[in-house]
Amino acid sequence: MHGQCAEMECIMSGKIDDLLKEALIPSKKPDAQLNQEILRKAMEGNNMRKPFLKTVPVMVAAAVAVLTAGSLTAYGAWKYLTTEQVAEEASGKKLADAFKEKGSVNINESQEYGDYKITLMGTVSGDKIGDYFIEDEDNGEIYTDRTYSVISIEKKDGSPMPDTSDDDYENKFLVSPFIKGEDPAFLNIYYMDGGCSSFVKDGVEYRLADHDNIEAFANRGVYLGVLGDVFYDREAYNFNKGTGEITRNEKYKGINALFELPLDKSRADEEKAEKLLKKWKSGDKENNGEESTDNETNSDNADEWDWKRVKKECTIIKDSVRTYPSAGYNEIISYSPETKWKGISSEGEISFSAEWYFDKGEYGTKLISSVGDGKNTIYTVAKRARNGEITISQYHN
Amino acid sequence: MNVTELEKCIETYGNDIYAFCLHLAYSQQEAEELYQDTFLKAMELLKRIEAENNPKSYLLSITIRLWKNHKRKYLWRERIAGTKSLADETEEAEIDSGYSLEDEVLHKEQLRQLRQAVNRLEDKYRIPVCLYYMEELQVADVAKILKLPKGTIKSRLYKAREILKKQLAET
Repeated sequence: MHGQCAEMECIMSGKIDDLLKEALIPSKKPDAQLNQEILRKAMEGNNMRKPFLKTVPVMVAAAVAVLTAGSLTAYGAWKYLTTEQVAEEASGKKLADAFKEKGSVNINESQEYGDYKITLMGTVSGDKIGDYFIEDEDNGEIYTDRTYSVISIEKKDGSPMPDTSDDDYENKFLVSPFIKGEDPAFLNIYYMDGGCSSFVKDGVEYRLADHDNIEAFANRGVYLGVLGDVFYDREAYNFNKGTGEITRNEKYKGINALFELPLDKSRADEEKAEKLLKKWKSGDKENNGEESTDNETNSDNADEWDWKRVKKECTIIKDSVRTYPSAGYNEIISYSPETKWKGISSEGEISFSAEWYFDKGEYGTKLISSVGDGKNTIYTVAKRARNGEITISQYHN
Repeated sequence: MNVTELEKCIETYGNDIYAFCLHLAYSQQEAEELYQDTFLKAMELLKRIEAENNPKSYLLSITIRLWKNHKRKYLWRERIAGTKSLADETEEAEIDSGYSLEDEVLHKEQLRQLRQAVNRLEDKYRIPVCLYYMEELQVADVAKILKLPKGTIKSRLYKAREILKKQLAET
């Protein structure tokens, strides 16, 4: 009998598991036409995919002032929108007005890679200058102090970019700021509460990227990268740990445009910059272990310590050292030693993938987890050997 | 991956991935885009899939990554177009189809409310719930996909159940 009262009793008595399983039984299947469409796109992709030409040097000198008169702009200049028009289309009038203000920076520098010409049109920063703001799902905080950058992407051969409503449209670009001195693999738009809106007008794709206001870093140096994928690719850029410089990887076979953002140095603010870095590096709030029932943590919590400090200040736990044969770089392995590791999980297991902690081709030892209050803490480290072997061991202070 | 292999992959895992996309996205159109993107991305990443013991989990993790990356685009579209929740459309169709027995109708209604409540959950609860109850993955597999400790997944499933119980009790 399935009366509503019976249902409620069922729920309240803890049998919601059964109801959830029943409620979430998949009821719809993908249409055969949809699957055919994927195969068609895949086939087209295979046939049309050509290796990118050898990467073209950055064309800083050939910066194209697409919005001003002159011989360089004669070709098709009529079809370009202004930063204000892009802002109004992608966001609203308020942001469009901000792009007209004195503090906005018109750049109009173009670079060409593969089949595309990418133009950084301009940028503007400020508090509450946008029409919409994102809200932190966890604490309800609304991020209003933002930097907005407008990018245009077009085909070099003049053919139109597919409209966002077209079947051919594929969101395959990532626009991200990078901070000089910070590894872009670990500090890009995904860490900066960023996002991007895009649309196509007259065959040109326009992108409005927004993220936390980065003007505070004006003295350090800020870049804007455009990659040909929705994911950040570690191969796209070189990061010099010594100088902090970020440069294009000239051997990269994809799109890896890199612009220097000419921010107003009078807006530089080291204190604010440090606060932002702290916020960004505190990482995903989801990973802070606040919800963990097993007192588990992951590598994000271990930021203040590193392997060198653990090696110097801590003592290895006997019998905690285990070496495992080589696994694929992306392979996720669950290691469960005979002697349980401490603090990792209730079962003493650890899930590990080299991809999570090491760059491709990188070997060495890294701190991957710390559990404790700082005075009584268990540190777990992983060593990746050149032959791919992984050694997990634990230390205590 | 060649097209034949992709076809086999769609044939084997398509229904599961599609169902997951329907629960993640805000409209059928967006769900279908996400579904397409998942397999096209998978085609690029075949070597990784080959190295995976559990291709379904890997495909689901691609879906989640794409969803997170595209989320703002989807939200943006929602603001402009005012898209309707796919779950709502599905449920309405089911209710409209009609059942003669009252208790069956009530049961259907209860399940509909539960689905709606799931769709209203924040992503951090909704995604583990869908992976665990709909895709029938183990906690360990959900943890691997979301790259979170198992304890966190257990905690989120527990909290999600509590939220759902509370919401249903209030209806």
